Amino acid sequence: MKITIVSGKGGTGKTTIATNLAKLINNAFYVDMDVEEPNGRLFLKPEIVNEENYNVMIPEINEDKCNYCGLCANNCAFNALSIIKSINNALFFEDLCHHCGVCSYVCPENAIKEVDKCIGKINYGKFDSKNINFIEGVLNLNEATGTPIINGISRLLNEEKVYVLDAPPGTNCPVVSAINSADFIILAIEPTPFGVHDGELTLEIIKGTNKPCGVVINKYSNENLDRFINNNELNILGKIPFKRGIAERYSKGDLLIDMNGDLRNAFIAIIKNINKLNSREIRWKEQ
Amino acid sequence: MKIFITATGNDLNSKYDERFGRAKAFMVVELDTMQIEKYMENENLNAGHGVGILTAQIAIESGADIIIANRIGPKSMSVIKGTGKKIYQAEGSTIKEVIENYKNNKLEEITS
Repeated sequence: MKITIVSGKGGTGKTTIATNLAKLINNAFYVDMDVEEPNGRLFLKPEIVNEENYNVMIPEINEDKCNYCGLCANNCAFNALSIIKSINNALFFEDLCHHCGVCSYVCPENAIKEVDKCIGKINYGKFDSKNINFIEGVLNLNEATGTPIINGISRLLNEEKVYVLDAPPGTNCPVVSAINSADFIILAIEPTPFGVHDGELTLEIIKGTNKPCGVVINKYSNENLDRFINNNELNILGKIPFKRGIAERYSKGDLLIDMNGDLRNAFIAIIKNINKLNSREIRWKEQ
Repeated sequence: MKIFITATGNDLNSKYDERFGRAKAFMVVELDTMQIEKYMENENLNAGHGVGILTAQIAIESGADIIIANRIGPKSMSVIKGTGKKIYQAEGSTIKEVIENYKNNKLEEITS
């Protein structure tokens, strides 16, 4: 079972919710899909046991064989190739490439070879466990998109185990990829105009998936989110209060479930509420 | 001398289009006669990626000798650069004004 935590606005509490749930749920994996800025490790402090490079395929054009017919560029759905026959010039724009391989497939001269390009890493580690229960995607600096790594991580996950997936912020392709692999979606939201605005955008994506979903309100105070919750017929899974003490412990890399019984119970309540909306029961660690 | 310019309409009194890849249309104008040789609606307006590259190709294949535009992205630039065609920074409002400015050597060449 895969539980994906998304937000919309950054800084609403995805990692806070994901790391605390991953630590609290029995035998759960924490999976950091926020590959541009993975920070779950600051809270779970895993021992990293394996680091693997993550490669994508990009075209390499052999200009000795190329006759600049332009068939590759015409077939590229992302306009990543430009062929100018008048001056015998073939240009490849790597950041537009989606690694589909159609260019090498259609090339009549066999002038295009697909080659490996490393765009980042997938790291494996352990926290509170003898076995690997921490997976983290890391995108190299200067890369255009982390979507391939997120899809690569998704392929590693199975149906049997419980995974808590920490998604990237926003409403972009990487977020859609992180949502695609989910069995259950948690929308982290904060009661600010910006938080609600971006939360609504993310909700549009979630609604398109027909997957079960619930909301965790982070930085909860008396500000009114009722209209947002009622208009969208959302299930509230839990609330994390807006308190200076929480921010202080967070800034030190502490988990909220270790802070006090009330916060631990708030996270247990979230798990119980997920169980109400989902056929598979998740169990948590007793203290 | 033929000029490729981004256009918002199909006559010389139309404004030039400040966008390159997502310009409404393109025009090829013969400098000596000020005749519009070609008027092309931009068919790539709805493409998600790489419209600048496509526009650069349209500009090259249009047969124009020079290109006038308002700023041009690095990808479009690299496509055009190889052909040796010069690109000039548009100044003015209407296409006619911009081309007059070119005639009077008032436009600066964009090189990067």
